[in-house]
Amino acid sequence: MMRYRRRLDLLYALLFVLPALTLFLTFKYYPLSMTMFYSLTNWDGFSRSYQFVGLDNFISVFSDSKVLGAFYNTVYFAIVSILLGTVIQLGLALILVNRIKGAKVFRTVLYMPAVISALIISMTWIAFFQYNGIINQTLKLVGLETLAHNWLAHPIITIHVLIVINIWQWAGYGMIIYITGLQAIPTEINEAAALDGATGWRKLRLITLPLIMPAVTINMFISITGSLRVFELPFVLTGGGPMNTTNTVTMSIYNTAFLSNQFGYASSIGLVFFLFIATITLIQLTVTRRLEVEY
Amino acid sequence: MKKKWLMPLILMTTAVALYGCSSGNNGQGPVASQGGSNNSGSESPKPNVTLKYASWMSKGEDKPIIEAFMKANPHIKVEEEVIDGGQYSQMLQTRILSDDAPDVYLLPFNQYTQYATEGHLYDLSNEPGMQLMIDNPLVDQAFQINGKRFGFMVNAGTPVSPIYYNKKIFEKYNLDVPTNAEEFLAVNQTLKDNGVEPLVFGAKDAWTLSGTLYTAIFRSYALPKTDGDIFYALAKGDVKPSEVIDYPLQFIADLVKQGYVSEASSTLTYDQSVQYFADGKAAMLPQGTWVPTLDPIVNADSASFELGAFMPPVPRADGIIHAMSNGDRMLVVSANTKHPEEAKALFNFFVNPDNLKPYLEEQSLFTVLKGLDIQTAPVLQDYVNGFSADDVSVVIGSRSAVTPAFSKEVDISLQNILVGSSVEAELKRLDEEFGKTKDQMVVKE
Repeated sequence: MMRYRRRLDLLYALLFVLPALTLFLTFKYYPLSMTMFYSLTNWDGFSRSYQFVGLDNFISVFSDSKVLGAFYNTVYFAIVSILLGTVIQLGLALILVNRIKGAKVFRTVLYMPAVISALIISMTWIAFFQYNGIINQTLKLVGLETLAHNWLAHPIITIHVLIVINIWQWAGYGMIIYITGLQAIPTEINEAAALDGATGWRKLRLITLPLIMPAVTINMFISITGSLRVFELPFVLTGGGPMNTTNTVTMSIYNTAFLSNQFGYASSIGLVFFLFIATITLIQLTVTRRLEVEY
Repeated sequence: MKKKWLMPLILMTTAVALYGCSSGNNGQGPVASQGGSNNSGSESPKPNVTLKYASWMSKGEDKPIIEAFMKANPHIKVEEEVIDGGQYSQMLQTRILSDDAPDVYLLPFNQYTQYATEGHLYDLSNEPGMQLMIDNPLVDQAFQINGKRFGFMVNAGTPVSPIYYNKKIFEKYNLDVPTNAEEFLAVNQTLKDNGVEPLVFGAKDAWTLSGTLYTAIFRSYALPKTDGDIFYALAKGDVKPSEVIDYPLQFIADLVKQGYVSEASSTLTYDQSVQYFADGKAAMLPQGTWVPTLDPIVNADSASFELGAFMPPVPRADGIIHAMSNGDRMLVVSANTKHPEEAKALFNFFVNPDNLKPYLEEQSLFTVLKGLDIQTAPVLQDYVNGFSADDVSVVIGSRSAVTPAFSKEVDISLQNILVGSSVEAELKRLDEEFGKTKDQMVVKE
């Protein structure tokens, strides 16, 4: 009777898992395994025939100046976005965690860009950053014409414009996570710290930061994976230009697959980049987890 | 008593239902098509069919002809899909890959040979609509693949795209229409000296740069160097891209360096550049023949704007302007369509001269097909007449085409030139990029 019961439980468990498992196998693992398969071929993504090329595609990834350039752009974009973004998100959280007037409105307003599609955000910002867009027009209007630039077509400035937009879009999202972390700190710890005379930077560094480390872990993980996979922003705003300075790895994969008809090669770029992101996030999780403290 | 009435009632109902389904249609059921496909009164009604039609015509250019077709063939519904021109090739490719190709679609010329060779297009050799192309042997020959016809050249890219100018600005500074490169540069300098932005492009949509002034200069320069077939010579390795692209790229770079190209160009879209020109913010706009029909031009303030057009300053070889006309929009039918008869009906309706003529005239599109007798927009009359002059040699089509990937690289190079990249660096890059996809070029021997 017991054995029958256990078998029935197992069957029920399997039945409950089956839908999720089917979805995962169909939409995650099957495409992933096909990508692995195609990365070993020279399939053009179009014809029915292809040849196995072994690891040739993977070797080419490391000597392709275009991919390396895109990799540099992506990493630069991610580092600056994450560093500056974290400072801004944390700063906003530290201000808006307090019971100040209008805090809830500010939180909502700051969070709103995170729920808008990156595509729509990009289209909106074009109107601002175009040469004859709102920013340059305003600068001209107030007599600061010398500050007007070709924001979206300048080899040095443009990548930073994208970084600024990216930080702006995700500032509210990260802020909410940090606020949650800050609110989870027991009041007695803060009170004890105040009694001991810990204030300002000292309190932030020694008390607050270690205690909100779980929030930092989550936020960093989301920021790293998100910014390394950036696509819509450069795709819509700059198309990867000027001079390929905003061409990212994901754009490179897309163009290699669907424009250059090198689907096999694009798959290998994707896999290498997947491994890179996995390694980075693994390191990040190990480091930030180690910094977490128990209370 | 009730049963007495029941039988006549059933008989009457059956008779009415049968009449409704007969060929004498009274609007309740499907009707026989008119014009598109013939259907005699004795034939059974045709089942309703839905066709998918795809193009990059974002301003509803194809809508009138599609609607007219549906009106003539009520049993065929055509779902029109507009795909962004910048992503058209990629989107179409993914659709074909996933076995979801539109039944009928417009295809950019540079993919025609590849698609036909790889079996994605329906053989339309014996379709009545093809007659117009057959009557133009030079065109017919250019678009045949292994003796078969897979598409109809709806319109031709102009051999040399015009440069539009604002007559009011030219009049103000007492400028004449330039007839060669020196005069063109002098006009630019005068405009610049007077604080007027001479040229504007909508280079965020790169084709506005690559498909206009650059292409005109490129073809005139490269055709004499390649025995009249640039792309075949490139595919065969007879020339490197840098050997035929150097002059046009340098010409554009010089215009940028001299400050003749509006700084706004690099971030303006095609639509915005037309508006910019119509607003009088720039004096000249290199663009296609359709410009005179565009809303911003038609609605421009006549006090400050009047449209003019002239031939761009293309180089001559032995006194001859060499030009080339390719198919611009190719109308094709998918080889995998589930409704070949209906798809062919749409194809034949579209390319029927009675429908094609107004389609081309309304958009001020260019064609090399004789027999259509297209009325050119008055502002372009002199410019079009110029093609029949003795010093202009026009070749039609090519035995090959560069890949969309390389076309994109040329676009990127021009965009880079616009923001200050050096010609040498771009030529080097183009030679490298060309090598990556050269093997994909399909050659018609």
